[in-house]
Amino acid sequence: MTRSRQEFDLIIVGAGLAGLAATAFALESGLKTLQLGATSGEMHFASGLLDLLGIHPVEEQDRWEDPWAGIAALVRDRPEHPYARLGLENIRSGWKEFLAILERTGLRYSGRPERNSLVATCTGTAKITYQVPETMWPGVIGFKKKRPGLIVDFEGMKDFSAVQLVKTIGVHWPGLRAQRLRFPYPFQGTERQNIFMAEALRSHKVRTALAEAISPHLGDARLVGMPAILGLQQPEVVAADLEGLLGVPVFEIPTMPPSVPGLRLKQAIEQEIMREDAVLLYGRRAVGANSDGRRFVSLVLEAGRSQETLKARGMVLATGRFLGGGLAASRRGIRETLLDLPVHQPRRRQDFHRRRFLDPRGHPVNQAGLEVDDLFRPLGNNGKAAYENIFAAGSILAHQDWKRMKCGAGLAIATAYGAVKSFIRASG
Amino acid sequence: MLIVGAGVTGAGLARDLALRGVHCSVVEAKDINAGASGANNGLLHSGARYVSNDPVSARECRDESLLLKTLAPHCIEDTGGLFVAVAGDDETYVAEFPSLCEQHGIPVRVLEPREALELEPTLNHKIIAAYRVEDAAINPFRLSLDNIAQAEAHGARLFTHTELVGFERKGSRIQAARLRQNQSGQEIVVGVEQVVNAAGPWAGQVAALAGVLIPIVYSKGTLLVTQTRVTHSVINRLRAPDDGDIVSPSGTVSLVGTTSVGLDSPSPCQPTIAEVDLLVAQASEMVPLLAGMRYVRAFAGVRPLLPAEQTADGRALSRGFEVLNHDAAGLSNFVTVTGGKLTTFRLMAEKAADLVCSRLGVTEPCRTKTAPLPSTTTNQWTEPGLAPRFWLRQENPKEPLLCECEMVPTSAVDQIIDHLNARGEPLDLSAIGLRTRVGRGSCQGAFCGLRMTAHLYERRLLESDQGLFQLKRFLERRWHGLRPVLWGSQLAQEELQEALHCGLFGLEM
Repeated sequence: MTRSRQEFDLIIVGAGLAGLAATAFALESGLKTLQLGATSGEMHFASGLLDLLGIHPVEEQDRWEDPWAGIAALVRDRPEHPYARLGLENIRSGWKEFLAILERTGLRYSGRPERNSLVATCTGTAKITYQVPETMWPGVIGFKKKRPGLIVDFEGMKDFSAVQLVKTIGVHWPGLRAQRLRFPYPFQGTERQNIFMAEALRSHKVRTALAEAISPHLGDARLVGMPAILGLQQPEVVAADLEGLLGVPVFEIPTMPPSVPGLRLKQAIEQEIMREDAVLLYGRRAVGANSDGRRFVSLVLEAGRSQETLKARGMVLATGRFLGGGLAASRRGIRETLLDLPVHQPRRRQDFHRRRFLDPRGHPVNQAGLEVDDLFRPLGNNGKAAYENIFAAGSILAHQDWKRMKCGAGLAIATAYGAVKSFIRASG
Repeated sequence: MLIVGAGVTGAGLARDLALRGVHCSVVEAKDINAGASGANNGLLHSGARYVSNDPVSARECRDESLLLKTLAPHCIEDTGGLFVAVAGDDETYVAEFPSLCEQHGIPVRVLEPREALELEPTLNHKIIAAYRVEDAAINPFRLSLDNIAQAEAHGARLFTHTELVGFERKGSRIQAARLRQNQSGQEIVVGVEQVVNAAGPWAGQVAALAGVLIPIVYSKGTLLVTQTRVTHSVINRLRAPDDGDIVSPSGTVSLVGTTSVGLDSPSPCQPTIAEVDLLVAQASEMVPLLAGMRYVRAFAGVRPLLPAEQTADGRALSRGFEVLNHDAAGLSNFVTVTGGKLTTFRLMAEKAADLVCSRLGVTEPCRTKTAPLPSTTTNQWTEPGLAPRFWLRQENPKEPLLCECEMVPTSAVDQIIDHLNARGEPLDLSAIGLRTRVGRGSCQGAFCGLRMTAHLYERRLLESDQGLFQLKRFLERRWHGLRPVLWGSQLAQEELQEALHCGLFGLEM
């Protein structure tokens, strides 16, 4: 049985950063929007840092102090990169609009204007990024000015070792000390999970107890760093509270998944989206689409043993890559999973990956994905837009390697902006 | 007395000699089981596989497998084995198989295809013939580690990461060996009474240092590791040995092998995508679900084979072994043991030890054919599936797991660190992985590699940014095995790993 409910202007398929950004942009333009996610998204894998562009060309490992200058160079050098399809001005507009939306959510980000920053990660490396959660900012400044600091970690918390961080980054930031503490909340068992600790820090009592545990170890420290667990909401309040109790700034350090800052970003945008009356449909898998040949008409969803269709005037495909499920690889090659669109990919599996995992050039498979026209419409086999009103955004796009270029968030946001604006333009 | 090579043969030889009261030192360029001993299908052959083309090996396997099941049961899972034929397989081979087994005294029982499917429900439902044999699974890491452990308890010494770089020969005798410690680069010269070359595929190079030429045929074998175990027992294809015809259980996973590709040298070889595809295609004819299986990694080893008179491919060459006395080359204290199989390692060690002892005038008989192999607790963590059982047995598992894929607790890693430290061996992530299974699960080191590094910092065993170099080296080593199996879920896993290790940590920079 097939039934259909209301009709939308735009359906966004995908619940990662590109999907969330696309929905937010569509709402900004007053479109009646539905966002669909087969899961509730993989944002717990996202660091929460907003990269724009760090490295280009990756072969040379050139770092860009000014990400916009880096993008200008990239647009010149790599005309097939999604950034080049947009052009610098559109990327700037999209980025600006996204930050304005983010500002309305109350989740605060910081960064130097027109300049990348370095953030110490939990392994003690320095990550190049553009905008960072405000709760990480004192760490950026402290690192830059080499201020003496205390890094704390917690008994039973995996994947975060203050000693490792302090020793590894010590070459560049010598004045750090490490201290292990017991997290002041009576959890069951011995393992301490990021998300539960973040949840526990909602309580002022727990914050006070944490400050009391840190305080005796402060010494000459002019700031205190800890894993990114300062609350699932309003981390700025938690940080300010701790700073008030300790007398020195407290900052968060990005962790391995599950990443609390990634979840905060997701929740903040979702709340904003829902306030604007978009429909969010998670846990529902799209299985195909109906079209009249040239134009997409409706999306087909699984609904128990039957199917359901959702009508819309256009669709944005932001289903991600292999981890997100937008692409799938078998031994014979890579497929796009929803519409079976052609996928640009290395000719043979032998050419997917290089001999060294950490080869700075990156793996050819990372450049695989959907090729699009200037309106971000995926191309069909004839090299022209497969559908007049289907657009693609985010990591599913070909000719980019966000992991090596450090442009993940920028790619998601800018191409979501490009896809939505193109839909508006194409639909007149 | 110097043994070159700490594979299973060198380890077995050290134990054999130690039990006869002969003190020996084992030098190993890398680590225990770094060569073929650590890159095989962990199969204790009943001998049935060789009945058609290699009867000597078949009988040796028969006798040795029975012996090891009695003497080293803690290294063995006595799964039993099946030989199955599918439609299209050589019917003459199928028909002759049971009588050949009987002729060589190898127990075999014919099964109706229906009975075979009851035993192994994942088998192809279209099998046309099946036989039950006494194959078993053996853990080659535990085997070598336990052999070395008992040898050491009896006075033997093991030097890993120590490479033999030359011999000093005077007349018919090798007087000294030049050794280089790989970490420090320091060279030392040690006097030697007798030398046994048990370097596996590198035996030709070791012999060349003594001025002896021994021809060795190098045959590369590639295997795949599944994410979950697909059969209870060892499944062999009932045909003349060929690619992709054995599926052997190994604790919680199965191993699919092997290929046989001729090589010009024993240098480290990596599995290729073409070999992986061939293995999947062939093995899924026996066990169809292997076609859609998630593989966590591939690995390859080099078999040292004895050359035949006429040129032949690796499959046709004998799996037999030889103990060479090098009399003809005018050397009186140099022995090479080469060829052979994991199943016959003890016999190889015995024969080599017999020759050495006769030269030394030692009359003590071989003890390894009667004395059980003691089990040591430090080596238990190499056993697949032990760590999870240990963890679950604790009523209130308080101890954090360092590796979640293989469920290895932190205390197991600590035991190994203390063990390596006490011996003055380098604390390398791969050395810990070899002895604990950390890094062998589906994440292939993405999470546990980082945790091991952190743990070494916590224990003050790493300083400055040494951990980054350790981690990178560990990840690159895992990559060799991961790269050929990157499709499906394992590619998604790799994408996450790269997002974290490159996107967030910038380890490539």
